[in-house]
Amino acid sequence: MGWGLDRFAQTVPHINIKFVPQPHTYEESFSIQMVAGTAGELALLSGWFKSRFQASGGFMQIDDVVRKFDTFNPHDYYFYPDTNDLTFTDTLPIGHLDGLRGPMFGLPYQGNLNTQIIQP
Amino acid sequence: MEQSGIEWPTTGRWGIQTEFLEALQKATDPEAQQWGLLANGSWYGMWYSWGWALADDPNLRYRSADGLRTTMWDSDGDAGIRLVNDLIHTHGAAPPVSETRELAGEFGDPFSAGRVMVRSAGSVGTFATRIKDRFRWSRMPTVEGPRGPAPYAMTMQPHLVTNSAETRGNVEACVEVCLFFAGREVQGRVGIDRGSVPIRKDVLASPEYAAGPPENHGMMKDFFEQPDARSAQMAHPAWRDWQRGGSPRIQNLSAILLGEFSIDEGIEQTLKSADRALEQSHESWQELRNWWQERPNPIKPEEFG
Repeated sequence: MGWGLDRFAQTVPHINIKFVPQPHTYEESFSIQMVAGTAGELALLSGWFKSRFQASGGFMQIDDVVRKFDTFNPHDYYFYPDTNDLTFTDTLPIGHLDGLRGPMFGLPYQGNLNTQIIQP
Repeated sequence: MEQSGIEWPTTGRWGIQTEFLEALQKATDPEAQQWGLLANGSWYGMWYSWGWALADDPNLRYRSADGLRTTMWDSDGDAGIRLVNDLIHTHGAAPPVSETRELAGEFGDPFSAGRVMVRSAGSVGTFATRIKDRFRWSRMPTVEGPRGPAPYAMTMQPHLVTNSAETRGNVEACVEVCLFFAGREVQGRVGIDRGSVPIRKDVLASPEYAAGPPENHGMMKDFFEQPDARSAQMAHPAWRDWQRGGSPRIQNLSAILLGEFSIDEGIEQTLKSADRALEQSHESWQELRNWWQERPNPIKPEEFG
């Protein structure tokens, strides 16, 4: 993250980022900030946390904003349903190779897959 | 594997309950503090994949589409968690969960200490730092059920724009930050450091990402390209309560693997408390679903050719 923030400051100097690390108890602390309206403008979170605050308007739908950027192409990414988006993907197939789709409230950052490692 | 006389797995010869189980048993020598598998009950554990591969129903998911039932163990989908439990308590091919810290020693985890042959690992940056060049290690080919390769589970943490951004007039700037961190430069760096798994197709296909350590790291792209992936079904306002099974005591199911419950008792209690969490939150689930259906003008991939 630190490397990315440094590169962003060099590449996009007109946007200043104030980075505030959250404690491991962010579930409680960030929830309080969301309710109080004092949360950071951008946050690295899980999709389930988003779902908790979504219907009350806690997160911004960004579809029309992201369309303005020619660097955005949904086909560049694997689709992780109901993380940055809200699609109620509760049946198979999940379409993870078919590109991002909306409504979207942020963009992907930190992926994972439950694979294994082995000593050959 | 080599030391235990185990052959490198090939397609059609890496069955969860056959060749893979035999390999874990062969690799085990408790007197030498060597074990086949590092087991855990985490939500993100390998046993979900095993259960999906072994279940009679090929379309099994964690939860029903109506948001009312926990379905992950339907249709013999509990075969995965039962096998993990048996690997500890019956086959003896996985060390007791209570011994994990001791086995890790100075290396931080039992795999990095060279004490287990197989463990879960999505991102591998930590292991590369811990193992250095003390021994060979590799991505593991996908284990198989009767229908073929076990489906993998995808998870991801996004950057999300909160309503504070709108209040302060910064939504467009926040989206620009999101795009930068999801872009080729930052994700390319993620692919080198490997603290998480890159979310871009071009990075997973790159030679930098395929390069070791570990050996066969290029398999990650193949894993992602499997058509039968599963997601964590996070469109639920009470997802966290449901995932915890409604009770911190059963959180991550470790209590089953620690032997605090029998496997039957643990499954029964987990389902009961998880379904209770779904029932109690069903109204808010429906509210979220209604809200979702009213969202205007969502991105569609076909817009972009």
